[in-house]
This record gives sequence, structure tokens and C-alpha cells, in this order.
Amino acid sequence: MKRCLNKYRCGILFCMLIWGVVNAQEISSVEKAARQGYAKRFTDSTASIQIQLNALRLAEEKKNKAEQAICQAYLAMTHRRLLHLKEFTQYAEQSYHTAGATSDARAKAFASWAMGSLKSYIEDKSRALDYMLEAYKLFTQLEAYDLCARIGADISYLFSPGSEEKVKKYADAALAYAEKSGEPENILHARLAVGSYLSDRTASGDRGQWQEAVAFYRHTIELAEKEATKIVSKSNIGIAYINLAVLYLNGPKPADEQAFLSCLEKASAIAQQYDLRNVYRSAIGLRGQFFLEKGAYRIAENLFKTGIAYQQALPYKDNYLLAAFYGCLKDLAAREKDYAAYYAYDIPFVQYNQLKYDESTQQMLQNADARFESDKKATRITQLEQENQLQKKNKRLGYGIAAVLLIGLVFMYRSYYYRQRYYQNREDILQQQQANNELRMQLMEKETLESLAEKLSLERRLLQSQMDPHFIFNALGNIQGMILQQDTALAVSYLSKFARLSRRVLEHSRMEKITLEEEIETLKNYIELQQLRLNKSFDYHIECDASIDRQLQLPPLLIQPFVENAIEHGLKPLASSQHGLLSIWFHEHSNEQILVCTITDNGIGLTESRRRKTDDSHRSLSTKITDERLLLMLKDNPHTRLEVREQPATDGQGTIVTLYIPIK
Amino acid sequence: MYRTIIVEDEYRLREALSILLEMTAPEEVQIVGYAEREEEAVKLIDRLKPDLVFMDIMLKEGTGFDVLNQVAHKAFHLIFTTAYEEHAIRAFKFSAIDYLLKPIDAEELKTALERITDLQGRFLAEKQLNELNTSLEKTPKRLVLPTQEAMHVVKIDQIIRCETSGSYTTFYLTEGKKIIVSKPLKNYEDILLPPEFFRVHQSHLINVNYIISYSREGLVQMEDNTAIPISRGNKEAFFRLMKDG
Repeated sequence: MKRCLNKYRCGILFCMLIWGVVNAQEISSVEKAARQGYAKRFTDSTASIQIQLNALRLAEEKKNKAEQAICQAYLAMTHRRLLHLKEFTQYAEQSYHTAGATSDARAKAFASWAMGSLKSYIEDKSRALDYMLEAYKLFTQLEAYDLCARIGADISYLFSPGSEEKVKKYADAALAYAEKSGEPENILHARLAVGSYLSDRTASGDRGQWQEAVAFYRHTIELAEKEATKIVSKSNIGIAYINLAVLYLNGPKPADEQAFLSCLEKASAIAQQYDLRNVYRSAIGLRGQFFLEKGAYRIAENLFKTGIAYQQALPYKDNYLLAAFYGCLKDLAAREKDYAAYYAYDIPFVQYNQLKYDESTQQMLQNADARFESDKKATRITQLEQENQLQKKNKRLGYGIAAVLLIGLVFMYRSYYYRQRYYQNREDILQQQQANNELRMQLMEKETLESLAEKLSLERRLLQSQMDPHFIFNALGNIQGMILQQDTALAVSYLSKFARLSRRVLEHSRMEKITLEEEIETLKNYIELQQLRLNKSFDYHIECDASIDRQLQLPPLLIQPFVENAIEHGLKPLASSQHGLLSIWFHEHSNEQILVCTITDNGIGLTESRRRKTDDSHRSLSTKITDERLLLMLKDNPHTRLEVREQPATDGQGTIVTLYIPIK
Repeated sequence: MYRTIIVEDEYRLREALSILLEMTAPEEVQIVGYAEREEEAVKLIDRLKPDLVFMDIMLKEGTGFDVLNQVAHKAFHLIFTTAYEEHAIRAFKFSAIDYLLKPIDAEELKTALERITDLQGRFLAEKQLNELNTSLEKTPKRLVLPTQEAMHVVKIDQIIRCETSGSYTTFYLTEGKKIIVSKPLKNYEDILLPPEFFRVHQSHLINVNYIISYSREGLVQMEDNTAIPISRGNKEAFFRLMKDG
């Protein structure tokens, strides 16, 4: 049974060991190194910093941001201890910045702690609390109890004075965590925090509470003395003694002077041993004050002088302390009414007080500057972080947009490509269709086109025949003759008739149809010019049946060629003795769509004309064209007809031409 | 002083020519008679034996050509007058027969009379009339080139090229022959037509059948070992003709 229990116990121990190992494994070698360096801050600050810097370099080499942040936090804390505000600030901010770039909670916790310490140091309590609480929260989550204890204690101090509840809460919590971690160093630190609020409570004068506080400090000192070797921060032990001494002094009267003095002696002994200025100063100061109050001026004077001598022996001057001691000596001299001494003490007092004042002002200003700079930096950092995030977001947004655009482009291209192909195909099909249509149209319209071409070329030739160049130049020649003969009136009349005819022919050649009236006018114009040219060798008359509408429409320039033929080939060759006669008669036909035009001349007649064969090519041109036109018209109207015959022998010579013209 | 007959069927045109002659050359021309019909004209010419005849083509009866074919007397200078007869004008050009266009231009009339003076009594050649008749009937194969010395009848397919310098035109023929005529190139450009002949340049009319080679740059190598430039404006038409030809 016992064996079993032992086994069980062993098991538990083993488990605990494993847990310890596991816990230790969670802390990286770099952090361990940094912590080791940090632990040396009281004994060998140079080595401490060196070790930490090495650790930091290692972290940087590993490119481990989290470890870097932790190392920087330790360095910051180390420089705090050394009162190097500049480096402290630098490392704290670096740490915070580095940790910001990682998602490592531990690194963030360390960084917040460093920043909180910095803020605390430069007396920016509210900011300090923000950072500390953040660090505390993170370390709690990480179950880093040692650090929870430390920070909890720091938070407790930060809440004091004012929030007594919170001071107690965090101090108690710190102690609980410290006891959990089992490290005497942390326990002492936490106990001091608890003791601090217990001491504060004694101000109310409650005896029970005072006894409790004294008991707590006694126990604390007991624990600390027991574990003194393990405690790095020896000042905490000294502080514990001093706090207890103060408790005794402020305790219920009469005060336990023996206990008070023994505490301070212990404290000053520790302070001298470990060079704890604050503790030493407090120990001497408190004792000096005590003896001064008691009237033991020599003892007090000696104490103060010892303190000054101690201080003067140190390589640096604590102006605050010196001023305080000289102040006390001055006070002492005043009580003894030794004015020469008073004056003698007053000089260094004023000097150190000034220096102290300057120092503290400087410190305040420095702190204020640091606060300001830090705030500015913090703001800037926040801004940068926000910007960075924004940039990241923007970058992400940019990529997103780019991707969307790319996809859009791809789709656009695809759609464009397919649309192009679609259009191409459609165009091809359309082209094929068009080609087919064209072919069909060509086949279908071939005849139509042919007849149209025929018509068109005929029209052109018709125009040429109407305004026969021969006729034109002959007319001009005639005008020249009239001018040369100086028959001006005739020349002018002829010229205007010629101009009018030219204009009419030009106009009519562009028209589909003209009225009968217009046709008759043009014919008159033409015949009169010919009369003048041929020296009035013939007469003419144009008749139009009353029943015929003179506004009816007929194709232009259809009759003129037959009139020209009658004049050139019938009347002109007539002997001078014979007078020519040309008559044109428009009359109705049984078919309402036909207008009949009969052109009669008493010229030499067809037979004679052919016999004489005067310029065959020219003679036939006009009538040939008109024949063709009539033939074309025949296609539309079968009643279209041309009859050419000689006058019956009984009536003498001459030719009769009858035209059947379609008018609808 | 040229004793002159005017054959013209229109009274007013006859009068116009008479007055113009009176105005232009009163010292050189003496009008001895008029005719307005074929028969009448033949009789008049043979009877009066004029030095100069102005001949209209279209008469009240018959044509000027008919008159020429019937007259016995042929020792006269001949100038045709015409209003507009493309066919006839072409024939005149081929046979190098003088002609005037109606209404008659006084300057042209003067030039025509001066040319007659230059000929110093050498009248219308028999071969000119022969060429006129063949030209009127069908597509001419020959061309009459009048020079100071003689009337050269040249086969059209023997003309390699024509080159002008001012109012003279030089004909380069096969076998190295060369004839210079006192007529501008324009006169021949109108009758020596594509596709056989092509005016490649302001100064050059060539027979495309005698081309050896031609370059894109615009030089034509002819069979008489000459390189004829093609003017920029004519290049395109020339190359098109070469392609289609």
C-alpha cells in the first residue's frame, strides 16, 4: 500500500517534472539567454547588456520577430534599471514595434510590459496602465505566472493611490501568481506590493490592521532572508526592512524604537553591501530624523555626515540625497542655534538643492519630452500601422481589382473574339447570300439591263442627233455670214432662236416626258432656224386637232428627226424654182393611248433621195435612232408604229411620215 | 493671184467665205465662180480651170468627193470646208489634204493660203486623192506625209515612232527612214490611235508593235535602238495598255 502511494507520488512528481520541462520548452533558448542577461542587471550591468544583445543578435539572425521583441523588452527593462532613459525608450519602442509585426502573443505581452514600464517611468500613469493591463492579460492567457506576478505588482503600484480596491486586487493576484510560480524573487516583489497597500491602510490608525501589516512584513522579511541567495533584486529586501521600520515608527505610540532601529540597521547594511542608494539614503535619513526628533543631535549629525561622506565617496552624485542631508544638518544647526554651522550647511544645501531642483526639473522635462516623443511615436506608429493595414487592404483591393479586371478582359476578349467570329460568319453568309442574290438578280435582270443599256445608249445618241453637230456648226456659220453681211438684226434674231433651241433641247433631253405644247414650240423653233438658213426656201405649218389636250405627255425629241429629214433630204435639194412646204399634224387615234403625228413634205421624195445618195451615213442617222426608239416603245405598247411612205404620184413628190406615239 | 471657185450649198456660208477672203487676201484671191450642186461644180471647175477650190462636203445634190472624182481639170489647190464631219476630217488627215472648219476662222484661212504659196505651184497630188478615197471607204492603212520635196505615202505599220519639236514632227520608219513634216504631233495623235499607237510623252508617239522592252522606271526601248521616256502622267495608262495588249 505504501509502495503504491510512493509510486503514485513519484508519478505525480514525474508529471510535474515533465510539465516543468514542457513549460521550459515553451520558452525559447533566445528568451532564456535574454532572461539570464536580465537577471545580471544588478550585479554586472555590462555583462547583462552584452548577453542580451547577443540574444537579440541571435534572434535577428533567426529572423524571429517574436524573440527579437522579447529581447528588446528585456533590454528596455535593463536600461530602466540603469536609468538610461534614452536606451530604455528606444528598446521599449523597438520591442513594441517588432511585436506589432508578429502575431506572437508572448512577444506582444513583453512589448506591452516594456512600454508600460516606460510610461510608468516617465510618469504617464494612464498609458502605463493600458500597456500593463494588456501585458497582464496576455501573460495570464499564456500562463506565464512569474511575469503575471511581476506585472500584477506593478499594476497595483500604478493604481495607488486612488483605487484601493484595484491596488489590493492586483497585489493579491500578483502574490497568488508569484506563489504559483514559486520563485522567491517574484514572491518578494508581490509581497512588497501587498505590504504597500497594507501599510497604506494603517494610516486609518486601526491597530488590527497595523498588526496584520507588521506581521506580513515580518513574514516577508523572513521569507526573503531565507531565500536571499535566490533573490536578485536585493533592494527589495532592503525596502522590506525600511517599510517595516516605517511601520514601527508610525505604529501605535509608543513606537517600538528598538525594532525600528534594528530594521534600519539591517537595511543600511544590505544597502551598503549591494550599493542600494535608495535604501541607504532612506535608512540613514530615517535614523537621522529619528535622532534629530529625539534631540540626540550628535548622533543625528554623525549619521547625516556619514551619509554625505558615503555619498561623496560614490562615483556619482545624488544631489537629492545630498541636499536632503545638508537640509537636515541645517535644521539641526538651527535647533542648536549654531548660526555659523547653519550658514556653513546652507551653502552646500542651496547648491545641491539647486542641482537637485535642476535635476528634477530636467528629469521632469526629460520625462515630459520622452512622453511627448513617445506619444508622438506611438501616434505615428499607430498611424503607420493603420496606413500599413490600409496599404495591405489597398494592396489586397488592388490585387482584387486587377484580378477582376483581368477576368473581365479575358471575358471581353472571348466575347469580342466570338462576336468577331460570329460577325465574320454572318458576314460570310451574308456575302454568299448577296452573291447568290446578285447572280439571280443578274440573271433575272440581264434582259432588263440589256434593254436599259440599249435605251440609255440610244438616249445619248438621240441627244447627239437632236443637236446634230453639223446643224450646230452650220447655224454658227450662218450667224457668221449674217454678221459679215452686216445684217445685224437678222444675226441677232437668228442667234436668240438658236440659243432658245439649244436650251430646250438640253432641257428636254433630261426629261422622261414633255407636254405636247412644249414639243410643238421646240419644233417651231427648229423649223424657223432651218427656214432662215435655207433662205426661206420653204414654208411650214403645224396643226393640232382641237380634241387633243395640249398638256398631254409624250417622249421628248421624238418628232424632230423626221422634220430634219424632211428638210435636209426632202426640201433642201429642191430646185430653187420649187417652193417647199412642210406640214405637221397631230391628231387622235381610235386608241386613246396613242397620239398620231403626220409629217408631210413636198420635197424630192424617198426614191429620188436614195438615188442621189447624198451622204448616206448622215441621212439615215436621225431616223435610224428614232426607229430604234420607236421599237423600244413598241415593247411597252404594241400600237407604237412608224409609217414612211411617198405621197401618191397624183399629189406629186414628197414623203409622208406617220408616227404612232404612246402617250400613257 | 489665185482664181478661185467656192463650192458651197448654203448661200449665207458662201457669202461669209467670200467676205473673209476679201478681208484676208484681197490681192491673192479672185473669186471666179460659185457652185452649190455636184454637177454644177464639176462643170464650173472644168470650164474655169481655177487655181484654188474651196470645197464643201455636203452639197444640195451630191458631195464634194463626188465632184473631185469627176473633174478632168485637177491642177488646182484644194481646201475642204466642213461644219462637222468626223469621218471626212480623218480622211483629210491621212491624205494630208487641207481643210477648214465652219464657221471659218480668218487666221486659219490666212495660214492655209500661206501654205499654198509655199507649195510654189505644186498642186494636189494624185496619190493624195487616192488615199482620200480609200480612207473614206475603209480603215486607212497608209498615211500621206507632205514635205517640201514630195508627198510621201507611208504604210502605217512601218512607223516606229514620231517625235515632235515645236511645229515639226519627225517620223522614224523601219529600215532607218526618217521623214520630217511641218505639222504638229497633235495632228497625228488624232489619227494614229491606240492600241497600235500610244502617246508616251509630250514629244513622243510610239508604235507599240516596235517595243523591245520597257522598264517600271519609265523607259521604253524601241527597235530603232532608242530609249523613249514615259512621262509620269502617262505611265499608268501605258502599263495598262501593255497588260491588256
